[in-house]
Amino acid sequence: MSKQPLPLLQGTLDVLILKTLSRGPRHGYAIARWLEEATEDALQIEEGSLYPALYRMERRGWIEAEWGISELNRKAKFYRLTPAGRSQLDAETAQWESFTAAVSKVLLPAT
Amino acid sequence: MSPAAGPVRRFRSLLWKPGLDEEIADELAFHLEMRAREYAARGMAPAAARAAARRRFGDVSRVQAACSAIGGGRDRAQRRARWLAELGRDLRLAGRRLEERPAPTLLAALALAVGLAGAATAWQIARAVLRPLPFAEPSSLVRLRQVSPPGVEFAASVPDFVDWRRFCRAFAGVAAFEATEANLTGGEGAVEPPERVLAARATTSLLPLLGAQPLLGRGFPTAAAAGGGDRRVAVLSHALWRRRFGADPQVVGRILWLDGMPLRIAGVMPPGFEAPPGVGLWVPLVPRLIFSGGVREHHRLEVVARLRPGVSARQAAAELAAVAATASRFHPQTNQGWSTRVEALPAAWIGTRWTRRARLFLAAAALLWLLASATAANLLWARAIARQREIDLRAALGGGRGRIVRQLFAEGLLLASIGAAGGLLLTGSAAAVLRQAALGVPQLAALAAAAPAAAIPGLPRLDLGTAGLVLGLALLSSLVCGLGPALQAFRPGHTAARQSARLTTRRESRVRDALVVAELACATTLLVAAGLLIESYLRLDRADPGFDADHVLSMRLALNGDRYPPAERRALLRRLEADLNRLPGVAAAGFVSTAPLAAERPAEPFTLEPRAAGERELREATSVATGDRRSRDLAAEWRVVTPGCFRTLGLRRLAGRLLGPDDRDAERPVAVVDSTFSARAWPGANPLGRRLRRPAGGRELTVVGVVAQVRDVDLEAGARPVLFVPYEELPWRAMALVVRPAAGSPAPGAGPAASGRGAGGATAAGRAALAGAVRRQIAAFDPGLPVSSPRWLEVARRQEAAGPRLGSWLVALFAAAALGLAVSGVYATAAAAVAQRTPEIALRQALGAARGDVRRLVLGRGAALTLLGLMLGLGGSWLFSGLLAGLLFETPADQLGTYAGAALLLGGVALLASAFPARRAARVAPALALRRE
Repeated sequence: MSKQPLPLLQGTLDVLILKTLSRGPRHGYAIARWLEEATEDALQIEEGSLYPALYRMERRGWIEAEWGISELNRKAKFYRLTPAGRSQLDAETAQWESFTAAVSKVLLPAT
Repeated sequence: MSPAAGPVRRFRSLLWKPGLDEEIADELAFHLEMRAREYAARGMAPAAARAAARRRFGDVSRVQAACSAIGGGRDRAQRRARWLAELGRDLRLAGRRLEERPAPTLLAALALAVGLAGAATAWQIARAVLRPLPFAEPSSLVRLRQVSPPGVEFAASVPDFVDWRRFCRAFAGVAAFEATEANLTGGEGAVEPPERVLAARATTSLLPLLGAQPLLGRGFPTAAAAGGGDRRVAVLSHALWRRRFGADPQVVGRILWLDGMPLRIAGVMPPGFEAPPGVGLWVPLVPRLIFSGGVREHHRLEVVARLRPGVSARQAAAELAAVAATASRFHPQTNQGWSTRVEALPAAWIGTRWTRRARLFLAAAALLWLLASATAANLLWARAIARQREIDLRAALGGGRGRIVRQLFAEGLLLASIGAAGGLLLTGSAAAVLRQAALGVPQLAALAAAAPAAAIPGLPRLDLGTAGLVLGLALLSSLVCGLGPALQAFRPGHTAARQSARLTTRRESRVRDALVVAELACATTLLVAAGLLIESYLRLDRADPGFDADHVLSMRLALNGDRYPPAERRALLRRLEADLNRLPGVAAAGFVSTAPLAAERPAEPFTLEPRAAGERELREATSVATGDRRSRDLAAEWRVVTPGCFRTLGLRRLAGRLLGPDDRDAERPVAVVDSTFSARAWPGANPLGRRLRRPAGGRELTVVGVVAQVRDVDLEAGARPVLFVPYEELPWRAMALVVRPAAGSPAPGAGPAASGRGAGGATAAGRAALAGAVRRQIAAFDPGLPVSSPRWLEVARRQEAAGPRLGSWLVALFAAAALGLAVSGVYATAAAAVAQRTPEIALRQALGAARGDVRRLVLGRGAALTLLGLMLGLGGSWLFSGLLAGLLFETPADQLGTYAGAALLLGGVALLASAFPARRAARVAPALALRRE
């Protein structure tokens, strides 16, 4: 709660959003909440960059948006993963895994 | 959110940008509210929660702006895709409609195609003629010509050129050339037939002076300038290289034969570089070594010079005047009273006649295109009226004006594409015809040298420029055409109620009527111009040149000064003439100083005004003092002839006698004049026995005979006085041989094939045989005598007439098309008017009007429009005839007969065209028409 949130590495916001949406369509606030909960608030999403990222990804065709009714019976814009987004997610996940594996080998040598 | 937000948002989302911002604002507002609730759920006060949420979010407006920018781009892309999809839909719809009622659109497209083809063809010709010459700094280039005391212009003589080069400091460089037609045969084993090309013998300074670097090779070797080195080289023009040598990059070093002399190719010039226009290749000329040597009275060199920077033409002219004065003093016999004229080069080479012709074509094509567009507009408008009901219905059902405009735009685009396709096809076929017509006309060399064999045979080959012009004009036309129907769709106060009224507003019918009147006026102008040009051409064709050009072969002969001193030349030529006349198959042979229709034109093969423009060394016009009491000077053309020449050329004796073999020994030298000379020098009096003298000296000549008017150069120019002098009097070095084959007997050596075919000069085989026989005879006489440029005079005559022929054909074609277009415009308007006024007509009939009255009503309107159009057109023709100035041969531009004829033709056909709708109107059954309301 009062832990200092970790800054996000560049470009990871997109893949995090994609992963979030892979679990089902969500609106922007829900995405932010889910990420906070999943990382136990270790990551604080800067909300000023969340929505531009969503719009950017929509333009790239990785996600698509649709207005729907939210839990509060209010209109909200829901985002959904597209097949193109899914393959992008897989690709970036694989990339992340190999990246972290390589870095870990250097930083965390087996004792 | 308010209940009305839904439909309000839907309406607003029709307009894109505000909708997007609304959406973003809503989305962010939702997020903030959710966050605020989250905080409130944790125990904060609502106001504090909202504030905290906002704080956490950050700068809302910045985020909003960022999202708006990104989203806007996406929306633009979406919008574009949607717009294109709708356009596609509109085009498909237009296509379907076209299938239902193809007539109006196809006719309109045809009209457009005709107008476009005309414009493109005229543009191609104009571009070929008015090509800017690719010289470095053309504004400082000038041409120098000598002017005889009476004011006749000539080329320069070799000593003149040398003087100018040595003494004039106003020029950065001076160069000279003489252009002649020669026979070119290709390299070893070449299969192409020999062709005649324009060859320019030029000083080595010419090409560098004009600022051109060879594309291939190094050009003339510098040693050639000093007279040393290998002078048997040639530099090719780009067009010749492409045409004859297939643009072979290894062409440098190959051999070609020019008039039988082998030359090594030393270079190729860049495309478009032609000095003079139409030249095929350049050969070095070393002024002091050409065989006429330093003779001052042989004017054969075209001289061009470049002014030094900062020096004006006037300063140069002053220097030249000083040189001329010196020459006049030191060489009074040849240069007394001569001056030099300086003129700007590029304009001088194109020549005014062809410039005028090009302008005429452009103007005529512009008229035709306007006419075509107006006709197409009329046709489409007529169709739009017919579809008025449908358009009104669509508008009433909420189609929206925007959609209708887009629909009309799509239809216009379809029309433009069909019209452009048709136009390109027509232009392509016309281009092929043009290329044929352009052969042998130096001004149109660019056309004849067009692209080699098409990649896809059959498909018209057009360059990008022409194609672009066609497409551009098509688009323009279709926009204009679309205006009519668009206006129709947007008539004021158009509601469902007006469906029944079908009233035409005054304004619309006035615009349509104006279109028809404009069409008729354009057509009248074109018809008058065509009539004048056709008449001019017919007169030119029938004009009597005073000699018989059919079946006459001419060749150039040069009696080299070293081998044939003047005393021997007379005897030689006499013997040669006798030998040639005895040749079987030859009816007559003779020598003349300039062959008629001499191909050896000066560098501008396009004469400006009638003048003996320093044509060659072979012709000289100077003043003649006519003796007797009135010592008047008359500028005349000289021909030095042998007696056989009269019979060969078929000159007709009018009075006295012709020159004969006896005249050679006469103590008093004689001469023969033509009727023009006689009329000008001694109007009304008997010329026989009169005496003439050249101011430059020489013996006095007595006139012993008169021949019919001779016009053997530039028939289009006026008649000039011609004087025939016996060769004994002026034994010139270079003469032209003229030979007339005997009719009915084959030429020697022609073989059995030619024997049965009549005149030895009538078949190609016969002609070749004759030329060969003549050459052999000359060679037998003296093997070292250079003979060149064999030509048949009819060919030259045809080429002479090429310009007027092309002019009259093209404009006549335009006029015919214009007639068709105007008449269909009249018909379309009349038919549309009748269709629109059917209820009115029915009403009239129901109220008792007779059929004849109705017919008169429609016809009367048609007649009024026609009359107005004709009057405007005749007035316009009178203005247009300014463009015809200088192009008409013995035909006045304001000839009443032509105007009247055109008016009658067009008026008659137009009235006929409006008669059909009139008849149809009269047959309208009143009850039926009224019921349709």
